[in-house]
Formats: sequence, structure tokens, C-alpha cells
Amino acid sequence: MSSRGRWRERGLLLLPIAVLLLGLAQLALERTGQVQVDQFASGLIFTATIAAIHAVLSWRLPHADQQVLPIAAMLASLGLVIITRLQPALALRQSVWLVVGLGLMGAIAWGLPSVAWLKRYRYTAAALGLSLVLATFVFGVDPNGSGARLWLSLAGLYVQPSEVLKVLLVLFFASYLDDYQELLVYGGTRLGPLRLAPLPYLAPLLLMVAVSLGILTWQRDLGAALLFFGVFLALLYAASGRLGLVGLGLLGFAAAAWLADRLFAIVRVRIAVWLDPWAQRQTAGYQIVQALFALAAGGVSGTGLGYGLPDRIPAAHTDFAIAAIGEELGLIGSLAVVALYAALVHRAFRIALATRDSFAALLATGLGAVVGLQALVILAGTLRLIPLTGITLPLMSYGGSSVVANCAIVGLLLRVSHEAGAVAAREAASRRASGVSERRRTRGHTPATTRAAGTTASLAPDGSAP
Amino acid sequence: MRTNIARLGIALVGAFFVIALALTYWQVVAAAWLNLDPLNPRNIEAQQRAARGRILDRRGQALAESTSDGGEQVRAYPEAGAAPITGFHSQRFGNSGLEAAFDGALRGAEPTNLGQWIAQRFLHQPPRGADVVTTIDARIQQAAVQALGDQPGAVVVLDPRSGEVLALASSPSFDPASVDAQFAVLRDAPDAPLLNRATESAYVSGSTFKIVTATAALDRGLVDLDARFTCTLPIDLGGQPVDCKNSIHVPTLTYKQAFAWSSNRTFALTGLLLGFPGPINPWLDDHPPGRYPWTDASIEPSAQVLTDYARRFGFGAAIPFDLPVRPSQLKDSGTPWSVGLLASTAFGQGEISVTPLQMALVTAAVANDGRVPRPYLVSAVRSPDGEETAVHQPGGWLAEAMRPETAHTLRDFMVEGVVRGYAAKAQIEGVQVGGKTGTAEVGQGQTPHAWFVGIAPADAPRLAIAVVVEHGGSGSDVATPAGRAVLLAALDAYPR
Repeated sequence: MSSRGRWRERGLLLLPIAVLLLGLAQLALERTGQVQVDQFASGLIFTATIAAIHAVLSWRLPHADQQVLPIAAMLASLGLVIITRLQPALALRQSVWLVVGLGLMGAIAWGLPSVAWLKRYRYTAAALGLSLVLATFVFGVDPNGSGARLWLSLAGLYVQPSEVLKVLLVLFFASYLDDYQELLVYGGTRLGPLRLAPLPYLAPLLLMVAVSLGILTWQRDLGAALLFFGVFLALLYAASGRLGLVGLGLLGFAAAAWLADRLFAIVRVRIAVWLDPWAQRQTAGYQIVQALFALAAGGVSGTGLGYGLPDRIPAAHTDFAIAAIGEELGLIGSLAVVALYAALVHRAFRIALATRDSFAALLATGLGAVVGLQALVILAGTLRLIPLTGITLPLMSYGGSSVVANCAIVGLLLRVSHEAGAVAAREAASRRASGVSERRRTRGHTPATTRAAGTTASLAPDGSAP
Repeated sequence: MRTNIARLGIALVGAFFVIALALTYWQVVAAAWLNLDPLNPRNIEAQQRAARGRILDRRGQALAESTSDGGEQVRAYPEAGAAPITGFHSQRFGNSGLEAAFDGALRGAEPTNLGQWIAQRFLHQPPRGADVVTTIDARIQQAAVQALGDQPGAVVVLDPRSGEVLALASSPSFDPASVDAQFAVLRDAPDAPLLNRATESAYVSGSTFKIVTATAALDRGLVDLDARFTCTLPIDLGGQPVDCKNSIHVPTLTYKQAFAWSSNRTFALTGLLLGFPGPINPWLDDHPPGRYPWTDASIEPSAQVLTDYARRFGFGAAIPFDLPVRPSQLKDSGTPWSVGLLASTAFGQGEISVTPLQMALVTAAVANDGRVPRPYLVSAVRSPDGEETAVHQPGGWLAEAMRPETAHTLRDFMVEGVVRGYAAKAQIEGVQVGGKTGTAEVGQGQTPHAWFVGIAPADAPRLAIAVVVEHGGSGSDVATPAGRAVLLAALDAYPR
């Protein structure tokens, strides 16, 4: 493609880079009164990597949606700024993880044979994900002291398998539901006005759901369990359109939640804190209370980067990044973050609707849902709409596995988008070619002009059909 | 399937909209009460960050100031002797003195104009407190502290024409900078260093109260100033033995000399005779013309007169001042007047309890043609951008205690006390000083309190002073020299 190719993306990518560099400059000035180059290390690494990815995309995925990467980059850049604010030592590590994640994105852009190829390896993917999570039973460590041994230690690096499982399970669900989509919509035994789900065919799917939820619950990773079940229901609805099934699933979830409340003390504590954090303001409710104080202190315009007290919130750089943003960047900043997540979900669903391939559509839907639901669950928990769960804000919170997994998600979305766009471009080109060549024949022009006509066919850069 | 996907997408984006509403609630609506919650660490931090205003003396010298010690504010007190005035400022134990009374101004107010608002919200300049400008002169304060030395007591120096307090010393005192470390020790110490003895301690006044008795008698024209009488014999008044104290110096004397030599019998009789028509001189003699006209039952009119005049000086009420002042009392409220009580009150004993500030006001009224000035410690509050707000409205007296002629007469009396009386140790070369001593008995076996009150220069007084040395002994030997030292420094430091 010509250098004109992904010009929208190029222009939009300037914003996250500018935000990051300005944010780092502001923090450096506030901290030491001067600006030194070594404080920009993470910023420069980020800029270079983003530029590299953009180049790769321009070369290999020219038809991909041009807004997805800038939105994700903006979230990552805000995340870097807030991590630099809260725990400067971790900022460099986060930027390195971003490099790894963007590298994976590049690998998906470059090396993945096709989206359909993924479908063939769904069982392998599921098995890999589950075995990684199972490994935490035996080898699991708890580097943050949060009480659950959810991490694996590989040569000094901490990996959270549930984040990897997230992506692999979406892959699995999407491919399985795609195969049995017609069966879901039309199949199943009738029982009067109700139509039951065709259980025998869905057995592997349900088994997978049960096993993953079981493992996660056993490991007390309740946030991930909530997320996975939510994604499953979302994909189920997307594939079948049967709200009844979704309703059934929600009932099952309610029953499981009730059971969890009876069985697990931590669930009881979390629900009690959700209902009245001020009763336990110094103990279990301390975190959420401090987060609410931080949000209130921000007001509309925020206290200014570096001038608030978000460091009073325990684990602010992982779970409560939105409270830190809310305090220092105000309601304006936090609404911007919410808008960014909404925009990312919106783009993902647009990509899903633009593609003809049903598997790719379900895959994009699932990926959009997983990012959206993850953000919604942690945001709603911080804002006391639902109890708190221990999951991170995608792309913004500190956490290597989370960053890499979300970058992979973005990469897959771009891949789906590109393939859809490429197909649409080819069809448009051939339509135009056949249309023009007819006219050309009647006027006696040579077929050489059809090629020229083809290359100048206009395409909406995001790959949607004209 | 596409429809389902679209619906799902809309549902998710809709959920984000709900999140946005919740954010707005917590950051704007709930912020009002969340920001005030005591568990919120931001309020304490804000106080720490704000540059607290200084407390200055009348010449701009800092009595209390905040220095920045690596981001944290440390309160320093360059004039430790001014501790009773400044008080202390502690995050843990609160404030006292002017640090408490003017805490709002010192802390720094909310931004009042756009420039301040921008500075605070966008340039993140911490709010700066206003400076409190006092009427104190640090040099006179130092002299007062030195004059007291290790002795417990208090000194008050003020300008009788305006009521400005030039010095307010209390001993023993404390170092306000050490309060955070030493609070429990200071609070529980038996000698009460945190107590401001000038305004919060009440003592028996001793003979200095004779000024009030004399005011009542002179203002009502009950005394013939030229007539002489003899006072040598002690008498019993309502069970109270009263002697003549003056007899070894001047057995036959005028009323002025009776004042200068602190004749107890003269003033006891004066007090009892206040309700009767004058002149009272014949009754003051060793051999009165007949039986004393009062009885236990008919003592009320005299008591009323004395109470009335005491009230004019400020007794029995809270004196308006920048620091809390304990009201002075003529007698305990429950006790009924009797001959003995009235007699002993009139010469300065009885159940009188008076603060040094109150005695300074009594003295100031004599210096100020009979008008009791309104005392004040803080003249203005100076905001960080230089705007000065006057705190004290000039003019206005607390009361007119006596006619100007009476005041002039009393001034002469006080000069006599210094020239040829018990207050001789207050003499200053080249300056006419007026004074009255007091030796307040406080019970069997205890050393009396030493008092001195004075004015200088007597012909055009610009200074009024009250000194008390707790259990110091003789007023003329202990309190008077201290008062002289302070007056000397004050005349020099306050030339107009």
C-alpha cells in the first residue's frame, strides 16, 4: 500500500504519544523541578514500539481498522502515566511488557496464517489454557500477597495464566458456537412453548465452562470466574439469540453466587463491604473507602497530575487505577477513560459486524466482550455498583500477563478487521472492474484500464464495504 | 446473528454509560460529604502543606513563623518569651493563644479572587495564611520576661490612651516549639507553665485595690483633700482587725499620704463610709467624732457604691480581649456583705480575685482621664497579597470609671507614692512615675503575693503597667523594682 495507507491511524497515534510524554514531563517537573532524559525511558520505548507496530500494520494489515490501535495505545499510555505516578519503579517494567505485547501483536499481524487457522487448533488452545491454570495449583505463587496463588513464576517473571486462558477460551467458545450455531438457534427438543437447548451437542462446551469455572473458583479467582461466565453468556446470546438460554445461565450464576456466599468467607466479606464499606472503613473496607475519597477529591477537573494523594489507596496501580485517574485528572479524565473503553468495544463490534465469516464475527464479538466486561466489572466494583473483584483494568493496570493478553486481543481484532476489509476490497474491485470493463468494451478501450480502475477503487479504510 | 451481535454491543456500551453516571455521582455529587470525612487523609495533608501565617509584633518582628523543612511545615517561635501571647500550634494537641484565636486567618482562607483561585487550582501553590500583626513590642516583652525571671507571676504593659497591649508576660512559661514532644509533661507540671497568668489567673489584689476604693470616695466628693488626720491605732471592724501600716512613716497625714503609705485603716473606713455623706475625714482619725454611723444592716449602700465603681472598671464581667480573660470578682458571689468583709475588701483583701490585666485596666483608667480603655492585642491581619484588615476598631472605651478631675487627683496620689511612699523603688531619673504597691496576704504561713501597678510618665502617661509576683513577698521590695525595670525599657522602646 502507498504511504497514504494508514494515515488516520498515524495521525491518531500522535495523541497517546503526546499524552505519555507530556504526562511524564509533568511528573518529572513536579517531582524534581526539572526534566531529565532518563525519566522518559518508558516514554521513548513506548513511542518506538508503537511506531514499529504501525509500520508492521501498514505493511501486513493495511485494511485493518485504523482506530483500534490508537484507542488501545491511549489506554496503555494513560496506564503508563498513572503507573509512573504511583510506582515509578514499575513503569519501565510495564513498558517492557508492552513491548512484548506489541511484539505478539506484530506476530499475529505477520505470522498468523489466517483467522480460520485458529479454528483448527481450538482444542489445543483450550487444553493449553487449562493446563496453565491447573499448574497454579501445584506451582502457584502469590507475589502480591493478595491471598490467592494465581501466578506462575518463570525465570523471575510472573505470569498470570488466567489472563492467557481468557483469550484461549474466547477462541474456543467462538469456534464451537460457530460450528453449532444453527443447532443452537433452531435445534433442541420442544417442550410446549419452551425449547430446550440441544444438550448432547453442547456437552463439550458446557464441560469446558464448568471445568474452567471450577478451577477458577477453587483458586479463589472469583473475578476471573465472573468474567469468563459473562463472556460465555455473551457469546451464547450472540450465536443463538436466545435470551432464554442467557436467562438460564444467569439463574445458574445467581445460584452459584448464593452458594459461594455460604461457602467462602471471602465472598461474604466482599459482599458485606460492598453493602456498607463505612462499617469496616479501617479494615476490609479501607481500600474502597480510600478509592472513593480519591474520586471525590478529584472533582471535575482533578487535582492535577502529581498533586493528589492516590498513593493512599492500597494497590492503586493494579486494581484502582481509575480512582487515581479520577483524583488527579478529575471527572474529565475518568470519563475519558470510560469513553475509550466504550469506543474500543464499539470498534470491536463494528469489526464483528463487518466481517462475512461467522467464526471471525463471533471471535471479534467475544474479544470485544471480554475487554468490555473486564473493564465493566472492575469499574463497577470500584464505584460500588457491584462487589469488588480482583481483576485488572485492561491495558491500564500494571500487570505483564494482562498487558500481553490484551495486546493479543487487539492483534486478533486487527487481523479479523483486515481480512474482512481485504475481502470487501477485492469484491469492490472486481465489481468495479466488471462494471467498467463492460462500458470500456462498448467504447472500445483496452482491458488495461480495468487495472487502473481497480487500484483507484475507493475503500473505507476500516475495511467496511463501500 | 448480526442482530444479536449488534444488540450485545449496544448493551455493553450502554453499561459504560451507567458507569459514567456512577462516576459523576461519586466525583461530583458525593464529593461534598466525602471530602469532609475525618478519615480522609487529604484534609490533614492540606493543612500541613499550607504556609501558615506569621504572628508579628508591632514592628514586624516575628513572634511565630513557619519554616519549610523539606516539604513539611515546622512552626518556630523566635521570641520564646511571647509564648503566652502566641500560644502553641500542634497538629496533635491543637492550638492555644493567638494561634487558636486567629487560626482561621493564619491557616489561609479559600481563594477570594480569580488570581488566587488559579494559583491554587492550576499552579498548585499552597494557600498562604495571613499574618497577624500584634500590638506587642518584642523588646518590652523581653524586659518583662527578664524582670520576672524564675519567679512565678505576670506582667501586663499597655498604652492607656488606646488600650494596645505592649507586653503580656507570664511565668513560668514554656517553649511552644517543644509542645509536640513535651505536651504531657507541660500539661501535668505542678507549676502550670501552659497557664497564662496575666489573663487566666486571679489573685488577691492587695493594696493596689485601694485605687478603686479611692476612686469611689474621691469621685463622690467624700474626701477633703487638705484636711489632715491621725492614723496610728488599730481597730476592729466587724471582727476584722485593721491597722494603720503608715504609722511608722507618717502618723498624721493627708488622704494623699494615706494612699501613698497604703494606710489600711483609712481605706477600710473609707469603704464603710462610701454610702454616707461626706466629708469622711473626721471619721478616719484615731478619735472619730462619735460612734461609727454604719451597722451590719445598713452596710448595703456603701457596698453598693464600691461594687458599682468596681464594675465600671470591669469587675464581674468578661473583659473583651483577643485572648480569653477570667472575670475578676469583688467577692465570692455567695457571700453576703458584712462590715468585716467590706472593710477588708476596701483595703485590698477580703475575697477579691483579680487578674493582672484587670489591674492594668484600673491603672490605665487613672492615666486616661478616668476612661477605661478597651484592651487589644491584635491590631490587624495582613493577607499574603499585602491587604491589611484592621481587627481593632480604634476609639471607644469600656467605661467611664470616674470624672477626669478624680483621675488627675489619683495620678497625684500615685506620684506621691513613688516620690514619698512605698513605691519609691519605682523612681526613674528624669521621668515622673506614678505607682501603687500591694502585698496580698494569702493565708497563714504563706508568703503574700507582691503587686505593683504604675503609670509613666505621670504628666502625660503613655504606659500603664501591672506586675504580680506570686508569693513574692513585699510589693515594694519585689514587684516594684521589676516594674521599674520594665517601665525603663518601655519608655525607651515606646517613645510616643
